[in-house]
Amino acid sequence: MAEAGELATLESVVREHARFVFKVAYGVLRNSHDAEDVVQEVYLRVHRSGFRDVKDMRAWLARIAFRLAIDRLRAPQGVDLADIEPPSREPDAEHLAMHRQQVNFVQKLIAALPAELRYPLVLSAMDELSSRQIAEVLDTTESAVRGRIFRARQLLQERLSARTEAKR
Amino acid sequence: MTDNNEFDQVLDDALAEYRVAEPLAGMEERVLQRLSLQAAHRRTLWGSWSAVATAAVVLAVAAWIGLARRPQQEVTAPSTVRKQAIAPGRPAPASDTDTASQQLTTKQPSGARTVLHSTRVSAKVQLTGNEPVPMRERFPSPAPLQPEERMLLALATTHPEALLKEPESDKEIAFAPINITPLVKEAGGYEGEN
Repeated sequence: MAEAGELATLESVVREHARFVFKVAYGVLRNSHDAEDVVQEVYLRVHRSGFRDVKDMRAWLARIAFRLAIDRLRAPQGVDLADIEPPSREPDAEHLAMHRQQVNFVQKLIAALPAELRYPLVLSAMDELSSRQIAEVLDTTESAVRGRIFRARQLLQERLSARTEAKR
Repeated sequence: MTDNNEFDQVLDDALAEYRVAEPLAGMEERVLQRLSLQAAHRRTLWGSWSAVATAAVVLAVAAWIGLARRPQQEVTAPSTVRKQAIAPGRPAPASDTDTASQQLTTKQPSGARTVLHSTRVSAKVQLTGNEPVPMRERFPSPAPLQPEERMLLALATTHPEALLKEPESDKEIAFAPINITPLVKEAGGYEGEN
């Protein structure tokens, strides 16, 4: 009976946080299937270990998902920022297409950021996580999280400005 | 692209990939189904382990009860060295329970032979029940004397010199001649009576 009650509670946790856990895993893996596998593994571990003493369920789940996703990354994405080719210099007919090119370029830049800058930036994009929770997920301080996000934004802006200046 | 607002817009759109990422439909149900499968597996595993544990406990209790109720108990007596003084010329009596593994014969100053039975008694004493066996002062217990032994003891008490005398087996036994007188025939006796 106790197990049935625990399963019912866990079901409510799954329905409430599964999509958020998926986003955390996707932020690391950038693959839907791998991210869903991580979600399943997260809840299997939660079922095994129990979750009665957890104070911040969202941060706890995000921490488990983040670590499992990191473990799943067998080989680091060894992409260097300098290796990323800027978009084509051909003039775009429409401003929307130009903007789309810039967004794609920034996405590649984000993916090529060092891990200590990329993960705080990606996690900060999720509205569900505060700076304190991101710090808990990354096992660091809140001020360090803010500093890393600031440096990541600064680096991306410099790269994007350099590309724009080169186009002119 | 030096305008911060424009950069923020581009960065926000780039990060939207992570913000709006959605799993395939039915992910929650798939997760719950896997959880229920794991719960069933755990129940099966616990059931198997509990059955094995119960069987082990039952076997242990049965073995314990069997040992406690065993009617016969094997007791190994410790090694004993027994000295027994016997009369000269008399063979050492064999004990029913002793198994002599070594037998030494020595001469005592008194002249009597002493047979040392260095015996490792490994006889298995069959005991009934669990009551402790009372320790005997002398083992084996003395048996009552036979009539001949009692007569010999009385003779040794009253006439000890008779036992110390040398046997007279070497002397010739002389018998007095037996004189048998022939039968005398009386007149008108046996013959012609009829």
